[in-house]
Amino acid sequence: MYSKSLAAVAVMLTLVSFGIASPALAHTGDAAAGGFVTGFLHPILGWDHVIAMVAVGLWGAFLGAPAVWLLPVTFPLVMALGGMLGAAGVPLPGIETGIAASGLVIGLAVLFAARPPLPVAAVIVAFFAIFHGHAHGAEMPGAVSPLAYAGGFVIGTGLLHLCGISFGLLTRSRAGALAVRGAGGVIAALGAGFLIGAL
Amino acid sequence: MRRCVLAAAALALVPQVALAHDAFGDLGPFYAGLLHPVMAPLQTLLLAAVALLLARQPLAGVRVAYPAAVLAAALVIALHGVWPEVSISIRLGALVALALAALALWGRALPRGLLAGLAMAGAALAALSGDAVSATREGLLGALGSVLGIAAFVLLGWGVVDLAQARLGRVAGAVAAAWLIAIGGMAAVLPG
Repeated sequence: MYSKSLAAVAVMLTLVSFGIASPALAHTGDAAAGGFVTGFLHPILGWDHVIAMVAVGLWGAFLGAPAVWLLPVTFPLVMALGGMLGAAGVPLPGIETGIAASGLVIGLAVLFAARPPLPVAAVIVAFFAIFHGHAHGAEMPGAVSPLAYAGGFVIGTGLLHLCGISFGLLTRSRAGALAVRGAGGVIAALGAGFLIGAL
Repeated sequence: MRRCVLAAAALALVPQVALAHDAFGDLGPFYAGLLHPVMAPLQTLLLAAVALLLARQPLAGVRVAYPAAVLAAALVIALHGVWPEVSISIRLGALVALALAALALWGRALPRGLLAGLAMAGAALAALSGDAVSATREGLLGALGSVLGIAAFVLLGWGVVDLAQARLGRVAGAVAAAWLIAIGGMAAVLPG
């Protein structure tokens, strides 16, 4: 009898303890959401960023040397300027529009195999890089480790460029060129979807 | 049975927050120093900039600049123990990394003396961004680990970029330099 009541009390205490127990914070969201990994995933998990970055690589591969490397060099340099504006809290109008438009415009350039003079291509890419950089940079000061966050998103962006370049190397064959141009069309369609808010 | 129930009740009454272990656990001062270059973002940035600058330079210059950089780092780690209050801001470190990466992007061969001086400055600042060591056995182990960590990080970084440039052309180093400039530029506007 005694042991039964003791067990009942113990069960009750256990239940109450579960109710008032502190949560197990093995990996807090704050710490994980503010360093290299978060910055790295920021461009990779945002489809509007992904299509634009891949499109830059595709277009660079389509244009051939030296554009294949000049565009991926230009983009992070100018993106940093946008990131600095965002980190400093300087507002920039139409950020989401600019990001969506980048996928549409560069996707169309790949689809139609546009081959403008290299400075023109660099200016187009650089213009859109400002918007992408601002979007990333605006979240940087709130990160637990802003420097690691910056490193993560620059490297993530650069690797997306390299993915685009790798895929773009298919342009060496006729069928591959068609596939790349088709990918440009898909990117342009997705960019248009983001632009009108359908996606 | 009763003991088990009592023990369960007692344990349930004293819940504790589960604390995650450190990324590498407590490995001791030597390994903490050795791994510091991959754990401290500012030190990583500075050392990556030094490694990249060396990788964009002729080998004859690297033969002088690399040991000079390691010696400078060792000297600063020792002096940091004497003046532990000295530290560098993220902004200064980021600006120096940006300047080194810009020189790497430029890609021109620098005079050996200038290259050695730049590498020493970058490595010294990287060493200064670490924790000050104390004049104890643990402190000396930590200092030794830090020097070896800096030496290994720069050597590995130089090797990776040099290999990439050998396979893909020098433009691979230029792309990496653009990435570092972007990171350094954004870090330079951060407060502190």
